[in-house]
Amino acid sequence: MTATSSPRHGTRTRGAIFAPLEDVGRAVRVEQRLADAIRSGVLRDGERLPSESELAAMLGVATVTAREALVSLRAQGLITTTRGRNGGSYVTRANLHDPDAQAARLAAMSRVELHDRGTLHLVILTGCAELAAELADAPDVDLLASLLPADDDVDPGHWRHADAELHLTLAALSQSARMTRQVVGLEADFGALLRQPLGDPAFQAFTRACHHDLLTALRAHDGAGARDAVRRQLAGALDELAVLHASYR
Amino acid sequence: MGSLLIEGTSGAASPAALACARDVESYFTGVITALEVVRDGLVEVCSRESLLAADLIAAAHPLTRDLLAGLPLFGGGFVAAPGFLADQHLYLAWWQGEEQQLLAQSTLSGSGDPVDYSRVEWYRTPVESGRAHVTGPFVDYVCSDEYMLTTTIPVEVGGRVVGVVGADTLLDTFESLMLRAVRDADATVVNQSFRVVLSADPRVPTGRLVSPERRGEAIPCGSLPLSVLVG
Repeated sequence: MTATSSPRHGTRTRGAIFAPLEDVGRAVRVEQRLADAIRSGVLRDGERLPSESELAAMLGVATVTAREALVSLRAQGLITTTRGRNGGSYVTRANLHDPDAQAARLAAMSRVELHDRGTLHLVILTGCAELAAELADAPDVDLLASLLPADDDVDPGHWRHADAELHLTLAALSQSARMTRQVVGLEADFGALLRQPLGDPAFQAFTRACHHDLLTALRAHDGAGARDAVRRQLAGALDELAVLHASYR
Repeated sequence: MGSLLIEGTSGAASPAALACARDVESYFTGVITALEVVRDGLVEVCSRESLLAADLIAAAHPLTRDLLAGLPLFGGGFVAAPGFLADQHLYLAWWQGEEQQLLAQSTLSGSGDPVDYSRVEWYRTPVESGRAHVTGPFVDYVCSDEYMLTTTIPVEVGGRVVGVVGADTLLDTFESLMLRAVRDADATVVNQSFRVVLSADPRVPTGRLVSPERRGEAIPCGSLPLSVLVG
């Protein structure tokens, strides 16, 4: 134990959101970073954001810049601000799944872009599933199982949250920090859209069957089976999304 | 836990293998001893009625600063039992990274359905066993997004568990500390699931599970959930 290694500064799923920024377009970048974090679910519905001054200190920007970003997030319906003793800005992810907001986001994409994002997502997540089948032990699979919605749960919010957490945990089971950070980035980019079809109970049932097959394959250390289960789930979600997309254009 | 002893093919463990197990034990014993100092320093504040997060932070910060200054740790702090604090349902008073930044997610709200750490190994195991635990290797996507070994001990006040204090060691750091001893012993350090922490064999990556037929003889690292496999 003679060698020492200095702990280095790492990225953090949530901590990175509040890391200092460079000078250019600061308010826009603060807004973008927080909006991405809200869309991806890294910041949770109902979660209280730091105050303007705390946010400014964390991000290394002027208070007025933080305020500007919050004003814009409020205008987008991503946060609400209350006054009084327990006042503050709270994440309102509910609006994310507002069909109008989703329609606007989807409609702004070309069919090619949608397929492009879907392809990247699918390849990385199926790869994670295959690795996880090799590397997960029984308690790991039990933890994944505990994330799934109860049998009678049809709440779209629960489903979207559970599925996002399942995929992040699956990525972590690859035992690769870089892979996990990739998936965190993908989730921020595309996760909220990809889980749009989970509002439909029929699609929830389909997803539940895929989750079940995934867990069975992981328990059996069956890499091909795990890959196939995630592939079916994501391909199904992408098909639904493509149909939805077509209806908006 | 780590004490599973399989009748080995190589008979008595070599001095190098025993030294390797001692080195691993001594590193984590050092971490646990430092965590006990943090725990003892927090007992007074944790005995207060209706403790607020801000008061916890004020008490935990200097203790954690000393903890992180004394050992090659990535981060550390106190994690409150759900419902223990008066103003936050779930709360991590946790500092990490070169800047020792307070974790931004400390402002989790009870209604916001945050990641419930009460079911993850680094929280649940020491709370259930009442003893120190080392979790990992695992990718900690909740706090650090890094590949980690997390040491945690329970904090009890008046017979009630009010949280855990913990410290994160990067696998990178563990490797640089232990690789020589592991190589000298031609051994593989594993956790209680027989997941590789560090192996002398360059083809065996950290994180892999060692199958039962390849385990050989296991030398426990004291009472830690870690063992050194040889032969």
